Amino acid sequence: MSLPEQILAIQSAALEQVTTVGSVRDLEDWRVRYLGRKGELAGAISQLGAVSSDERRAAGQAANGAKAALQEAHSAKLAELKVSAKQDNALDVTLPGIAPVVGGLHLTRHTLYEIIRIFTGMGFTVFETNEVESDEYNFGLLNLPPDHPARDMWDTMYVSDDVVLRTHTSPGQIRAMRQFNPEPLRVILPGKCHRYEAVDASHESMFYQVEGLAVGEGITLASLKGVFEAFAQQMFGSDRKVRFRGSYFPFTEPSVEIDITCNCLGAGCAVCKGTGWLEVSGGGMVHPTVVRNGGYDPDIVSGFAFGMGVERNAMLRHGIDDIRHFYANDLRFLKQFA
Amino acid sequence: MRVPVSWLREYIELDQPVTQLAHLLTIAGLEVTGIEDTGSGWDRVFVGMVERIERVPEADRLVLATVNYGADSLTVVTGAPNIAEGQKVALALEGAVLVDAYADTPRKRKLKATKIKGIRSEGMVCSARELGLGSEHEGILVLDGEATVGAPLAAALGDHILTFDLPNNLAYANSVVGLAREIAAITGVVRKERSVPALAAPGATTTATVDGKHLAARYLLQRLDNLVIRPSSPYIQQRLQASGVRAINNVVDVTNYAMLEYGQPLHGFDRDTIEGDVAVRASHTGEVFETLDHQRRPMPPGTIMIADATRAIGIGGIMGGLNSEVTEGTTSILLESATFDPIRIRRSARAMSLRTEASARFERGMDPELAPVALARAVELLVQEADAVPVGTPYDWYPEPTRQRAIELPYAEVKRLLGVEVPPEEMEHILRSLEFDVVSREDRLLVTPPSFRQDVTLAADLVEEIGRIRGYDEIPATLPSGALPVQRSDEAALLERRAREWLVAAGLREVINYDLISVAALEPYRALPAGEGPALWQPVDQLVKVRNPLTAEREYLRPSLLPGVLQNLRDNLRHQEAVWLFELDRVFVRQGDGLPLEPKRLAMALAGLRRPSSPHLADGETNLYDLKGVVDGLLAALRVHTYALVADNERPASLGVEIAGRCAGFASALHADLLASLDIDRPVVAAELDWELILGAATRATTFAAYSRYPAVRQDVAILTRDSVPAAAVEQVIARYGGRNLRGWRLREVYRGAPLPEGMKSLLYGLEFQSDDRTLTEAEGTKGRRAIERGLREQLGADIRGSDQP
Repeated sequence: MSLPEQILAIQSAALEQVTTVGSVRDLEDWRVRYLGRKGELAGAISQLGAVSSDERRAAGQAANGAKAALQEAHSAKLAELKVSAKQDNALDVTLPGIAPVVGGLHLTRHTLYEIIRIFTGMGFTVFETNEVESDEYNFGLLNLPPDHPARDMWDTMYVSDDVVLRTHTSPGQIRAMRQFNPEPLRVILPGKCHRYEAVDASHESMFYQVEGLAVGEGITLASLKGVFEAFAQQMFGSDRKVRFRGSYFPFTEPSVEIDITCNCLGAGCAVCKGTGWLEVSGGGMVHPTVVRNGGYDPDIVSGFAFGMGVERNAMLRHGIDDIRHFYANDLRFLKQFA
Repeated sequence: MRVPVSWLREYIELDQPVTQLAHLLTIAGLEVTGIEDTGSGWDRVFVGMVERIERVPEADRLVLATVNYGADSLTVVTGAPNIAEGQKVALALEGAVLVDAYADTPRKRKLKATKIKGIRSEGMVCSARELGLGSEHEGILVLDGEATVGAPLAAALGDHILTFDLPNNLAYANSVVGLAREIAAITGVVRKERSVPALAAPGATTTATVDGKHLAARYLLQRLDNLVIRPSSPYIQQRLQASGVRAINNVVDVTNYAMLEYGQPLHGFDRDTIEGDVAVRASHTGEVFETLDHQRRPMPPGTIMIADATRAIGIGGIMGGLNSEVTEGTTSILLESATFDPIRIRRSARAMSLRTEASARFERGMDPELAPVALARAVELLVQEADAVPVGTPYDWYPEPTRQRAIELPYAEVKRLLGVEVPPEEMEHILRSLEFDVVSREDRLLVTPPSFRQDVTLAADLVEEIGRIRGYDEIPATLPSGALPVQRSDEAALLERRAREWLVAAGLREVINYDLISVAALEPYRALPAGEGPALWQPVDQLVKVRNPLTAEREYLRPSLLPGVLQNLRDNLRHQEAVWLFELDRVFVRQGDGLPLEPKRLAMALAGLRRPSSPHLADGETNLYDLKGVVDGLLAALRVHTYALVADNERPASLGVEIAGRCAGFASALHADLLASLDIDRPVVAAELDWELILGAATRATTFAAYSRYPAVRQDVAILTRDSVPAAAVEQVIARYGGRNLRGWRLREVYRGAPLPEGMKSLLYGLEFQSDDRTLTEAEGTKGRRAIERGLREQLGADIRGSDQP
């Protein structure tokens, strides 16, 4: 077969084969085979030097024609393949994706970490203390000597006459002050607390509390308001306001209840029972006796303290109506939050 | 405490709406938790007067009453035993909506005219219960004689009842007069003083003895003769009812009324049952006493007893005795008004589990100056209500009259605590409005609280009074000023958080369980072999027990976490296809009688599908390798460099977790017996680790290691070996023979079955060779691989499949 004939044979074989190509990848193989640098057409062209000048001219023309024809076939096929790729229904993109496996923190933890984040941002240090406490730390040093009637404010679980399950995180106030005095102090004390209390939708026998304590010169009730407002606005929304009401705790003087404006922003709703305010915390100025028990001089330094329930915070934030959900650990509950 | 606003009005002028009053009180620390409007539902109920009563033929219990209600008269048939001509009553006309007194659950019904025994009854005379005023339904509610006939009942009897939740220190405000004092200070309105006749009647003074002021700071007894026991006046009954106290008879009602009004508990003894003088003493050892609720009670040591010459007649400040109770036939009483020792009252009441209204008040401390005032008020009322004649001046034991100490209040102290400037005149004004005695000195006030404010002893207490009466609204919100305290980062808390977040990223969900569990919940773990690591089970005498548990389910402080986590796992498997849980928290280790240790542990329990089921992947059941991967990954992430997961030779499918050579716990496939006893029917893998050990071994920051920039040579080796040879043994050989260019290896496939002979397995390892300073040749990789192959043959007798060397 003369060279021009060979070239024409390559051309017709290639054009025949291209009709069977079904994918871009196959087309690329086809291109390499016929049009590539080491392809069949290039192989034929490389023989041009070895033939007579007549044949060379004819072969040259044939090669040019073949090259053009194949290139055109290639572009046409490529366009066709792209169109058909768009119409390919083999991949049903409406099928679900492969879900990654994700876990989650417990809602209480999640809320606690959020609270801690806000307070550490204001310079507070996290300080954990024990859950089983001496009567002295849980009550006595907090200005609640034995037989004090205000002990009734805490229904207590006892391990022995002198040992209790802490009823609040407040014993940590004494422990923190004793550890760090006479330095100025800003700590938050998170942890589990226990009460001898019948369990219902709004009461649990175990719950998390976060206590905040700032001790130093120049700490006032106004500082408590400032710190708590900064907290409430980060936790619940920048439009929240804080209100103090008179109250009583043996370890603070003056004592206040701390309310924040309700989700309804004062309009009155079922959550706030129409008052526009939600009670979220209790606190006040650390009682002089407690300041002294912590190793500071109450005539020189003052302190504020507050305590709040973590679950209650979470309940308000997420509209949870029953505290018993928290420690049932049902994933149908927990998965909703993290 | 429930207080009718109409009663308050007797002691103070109230101009503001009730809701505004409630708000003011709440802000000042006297929280109003409820406002009840008693007249709001009384449409078509009027004040009526009973004009005539006739018998109903053939019905002994029924009468026909003609009742005038101003506009007209109508007839009603009633069975009320207490109805009488001339009474003013609540008359409901047709269409009035009343409480259905016969329904078991509270509900209302609309009144319709009916025929009873053939007689038309056009309305109804109402009982207290039917009007929603209490539970009383024995007879009809008889109104005060002053009520205007024909007036709507709401005008005569409508009222607001405030419910208070008073904090412990505001005991002094726990009465109508006490609240009026507070309202006076808050609103600036001067309260109305009631003048009570002095206690000075002719006749012999009552005598008594009190064993000492350790029992009572003050003790008064007033004799009253000529009593007629009968129901008390309607207004007294109605106020008691509104306050939540049942009306009984005039003497009992008056003592309750005076207590609610002034705050002082009072008690009347039937004088005819008493022999000789009354004596106040401490209880005798083994003394048993029958209280007026017919209970024979052993008296706790130190209980304050009221006795006569022969026997005890009451428990001071807690409850009277059955033997001296005022009854229908009583004609003479000794009326007691005392200031009992609060601590004794509290201890005895607790020891007997007998908390009464009186004991609750005495516990909080009563004002000795109040005792004669309340007594005089009660005497005044008994003269009105029971025709009583006081005899002589009262016995009055008051050995040491209380003297209130003056408190210094430097002006600067107010700003130092409240953070807001209060003008000295305002401080003075507020304290005076609270009936404090105030003297001003240069830079401070000298403040003497009244006797009823024994709660105020410090300057800080005075600051609180100023703060709460002013209201806290004006206090600015300022961030603390001054030097910033050092912020100490808590390394332990940070690592804990990092661990939790890593576990969450690894697909585990955190649970938080009660610290308290039952012995029964621990029992299934008793049979587990006790390894060296953290124990799951402890004998009951090693546990910390709560003396007063709420339930047997929560009686002991947990010694381990897995019992709780596995319960969560079982509960959740009922509705979840995959349950991967962890808990990182405290367990409790008993230390004799002292405070227990509270080390933390990390427990994990995994069961169900490894991944959410998907049409794209085959479902895979969680197994030990999932757990091992989690433990391995976590310890590596916390940079515990000294850990090892080692096969546990005692237990199949179990790994020991070692940290620095010490056992830190285990990771296992749980035994079928344990799972069966926990009522779990799927395979579960679980771990419990000593978090304190992990914490101690974790390192904070890792040091950067330069990595090679030259390409690696990768070669595979397929090893055929006996099934019993553990992968760890193979890897030891690989590490030892691989030479210095061996960078790492990865087990890619484990294969058993045809065409391999029985008892054999094939392990396919990918090897990676790399140099830090040059590009390795393929030949160098091959050389390393061949060295490994040789080692495997020699050391383990393994065959190399498809080897290119003999």
